[in-house]
Amino acid sequence: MDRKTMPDIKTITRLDLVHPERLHLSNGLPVVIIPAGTEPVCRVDLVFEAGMRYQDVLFQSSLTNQMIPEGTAKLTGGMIAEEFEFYGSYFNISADRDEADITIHSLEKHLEPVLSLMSEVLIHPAFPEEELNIIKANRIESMKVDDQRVESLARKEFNRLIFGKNHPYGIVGEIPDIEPVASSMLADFHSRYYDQSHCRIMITGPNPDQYLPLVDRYFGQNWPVKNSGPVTRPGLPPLQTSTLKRSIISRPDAVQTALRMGKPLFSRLHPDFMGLSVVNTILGGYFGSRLMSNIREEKGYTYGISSFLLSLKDSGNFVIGSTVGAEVWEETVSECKKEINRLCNDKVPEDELELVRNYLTGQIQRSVDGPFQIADQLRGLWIHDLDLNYLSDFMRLINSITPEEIRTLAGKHLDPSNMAVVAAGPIKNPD
Amino acid sequence: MGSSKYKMEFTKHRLDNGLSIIVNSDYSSPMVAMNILYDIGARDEDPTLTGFAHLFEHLMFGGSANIPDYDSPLQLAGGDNNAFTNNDYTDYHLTIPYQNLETGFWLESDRMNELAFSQESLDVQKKVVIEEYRQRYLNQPYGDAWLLLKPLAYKVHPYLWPTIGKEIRHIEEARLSDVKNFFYSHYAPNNAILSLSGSIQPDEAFKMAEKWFGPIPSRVIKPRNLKPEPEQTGFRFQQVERPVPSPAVYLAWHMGDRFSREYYILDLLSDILSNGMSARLFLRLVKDRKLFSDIDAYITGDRDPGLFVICGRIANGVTAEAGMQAIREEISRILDEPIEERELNKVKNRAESQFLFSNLNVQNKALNLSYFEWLGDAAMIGREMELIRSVTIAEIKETAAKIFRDSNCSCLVYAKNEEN
Repeated sequence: MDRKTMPDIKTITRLDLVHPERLHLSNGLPVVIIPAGTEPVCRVDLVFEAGMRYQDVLFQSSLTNQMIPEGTAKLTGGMIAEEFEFYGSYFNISADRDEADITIHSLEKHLEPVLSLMSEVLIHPAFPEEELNIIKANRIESMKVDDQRVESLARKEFNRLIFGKNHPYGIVGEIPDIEPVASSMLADFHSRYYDQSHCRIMITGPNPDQYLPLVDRYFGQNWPVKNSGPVTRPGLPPLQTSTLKRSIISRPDAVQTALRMGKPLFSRLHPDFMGLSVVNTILGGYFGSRLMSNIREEKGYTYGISSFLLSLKDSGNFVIGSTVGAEVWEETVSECKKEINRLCNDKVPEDELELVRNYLTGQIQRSVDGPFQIADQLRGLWIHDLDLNYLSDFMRLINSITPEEIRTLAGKHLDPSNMAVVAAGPIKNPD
Repeated sequence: MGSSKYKMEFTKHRLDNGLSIIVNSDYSSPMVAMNILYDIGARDEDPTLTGFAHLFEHLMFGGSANIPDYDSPLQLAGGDNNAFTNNDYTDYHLTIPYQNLETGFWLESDRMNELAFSQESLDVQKKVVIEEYRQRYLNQPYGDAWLLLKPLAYKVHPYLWPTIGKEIRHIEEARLSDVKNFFYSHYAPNNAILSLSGSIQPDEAFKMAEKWFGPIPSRVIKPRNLKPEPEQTGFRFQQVERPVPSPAVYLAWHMGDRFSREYYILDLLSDILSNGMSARLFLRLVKDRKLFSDIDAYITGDRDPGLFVICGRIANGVTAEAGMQAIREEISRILDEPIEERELNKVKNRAESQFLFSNLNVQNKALNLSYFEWLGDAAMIGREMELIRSVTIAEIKETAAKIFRDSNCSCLVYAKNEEN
């Protein structure tokens, strides 16, 4: 039999995605409903404009978020956790630069008691001092571990250089910033941001019509309005990108060197974002990328190297990240620059582009495999005011972008001489 | 809350060369996941060539006899893949748009048939694996915990070395002849399980499997003859000094194998101790007594007799001794004090939802089908929940009394080395 010839392949041009429905709860709160899944499990996301960019003091946003399930006037944190866990549900909290989330994954059959508890916890948190002290102490311990990892040192420094060390997107909290955070600051942040005017809800599961009345009961009808005054929604100051283009963090006891290299860019709302995503994929966005082929497969300098376009709500950045053998970090940087220049100067060969097109369209299909993966994708689009058909549009662009357009986009946005480089590792004479 | 039965529909078939195939049709996904599990893990390695199963996993991406590069054609077909190696088996999985599934069959069958065996690929992958070794095991605080704990707990059974290998030297010393030998002794249709989940009919999958995998000959697989770990007879203790941010303790007790009832009993007990924010060790030792900054209890879940592990990082100002004493007290509470029915039901409910949540996409379903078939029968997947539901409080106490003896325990302590 012929094992040498690859079977015929088809280019995937269409994405058949479930149709999300936009509604409002009785109190006007915006809701998106995603009918997806075959198993009797569902998910409710409450997304608040309550991320770190809005905080007055460092750690205020993430600690408020983390303290929400730690106690109400009637229930202790332990009792709350026990109740959620008894129903086999997962209560997750997370806070990033822009948003703070409260997510519940539940068995359909237990959704009602779980939502009831969720609303109690969200609307009436007590922020007990005792629990806060434990959370702060444990956060400090885990940050100590992080601070020994060259990867996290490089990541933090890179963020400071790119957005500015005092900018809401660039500022990085350190261990001494945790102690001064008091319970009253969290209660204050909660009262300003965890209300209807900063909240959106997303409901995902095989039978969302059945969940909607329950969600409305707890978050549409029985959520007392606290904020009658004007809505707090501070804008973002201009970026304060550092003029420093090279920063070396010396850690003599480290075994490898962590690298970050990149520059500030823009969010997914920018018209060039989709096209630049294709450029980024060619460079370092998949296993067969130019950076992986060069630096891992040819040189064996690293276990992995990749590049990303990070999109925040109102800005973004391009970054290459890797952890490399201690003695080869400078060679790695110059190879990265070489690869970027190649994208800026030469047209990408058709066969490579075809591969990336097909890889990316497959990747889009993979990103919506399973109900909660669909929810993750649509959540990101919805809260940053992107079209919910973004993925279909992206698929169209992937299939139509030309080598010339790719070269132009790379040249326009990825000038390597204008990028910041951070290296953290056993580097002797930091300059 | 009644017990729930879980059902995943699948169809099985076996080719003449011994390859087992399992198909789950799920048309809610535009993809097909393809999983191949080879019955070869770190436990099958020569003690002088440890880490080889994992190194070999890397080499499986270095080209096969007729296809010089594995990744590019897969990506060209819109596919993506990964692989992992553990103590017991090596797993390769890919997902691909259903329209291009045949490319997956073409790629996987060619590398099962014959690898390219290139010296160049071996040299590069040795370097990559050594960087992986450094990044994951040496360049992280507590990263070498399993390099230390395994040889403390095991003296005879090959679980005594970690999947990455005992030492970097073993990886450096691997030769191309070892690679060839390893391939023909372990990679064969009669030593593999192929499972698919997604937009595919069983008959169509079996036809493609016959076309691409059917011509691959069966190979002689030497029967596995692993020496069982003798019963431990005394407490084992090792303390190391490292530049870690805080001291840490690791305790490991020997337990039964994957087929034993102990597996389900101790899985639930580990959940009682540490799964979730209302679990005992977290509530009492982290929140109430502030002795640990985090703590975890789990079973290793290996096929041969495994370990029940409790490990935690000691809180600021607390000694490792005080931490260990508190763990002992919690174990005594399991043995001596009543366990409430509600607490047991909580961990059972949680296990049920975890199980459902782990079967939501085609990739996980394909892996689960391969895994349970490897354990003996893919249909076991439908009985897991009943087995978990049937565990009683009396069994938990009885099993805890059996395993939580000092003479069955290995203890590793990280002391803080202040000089760094």
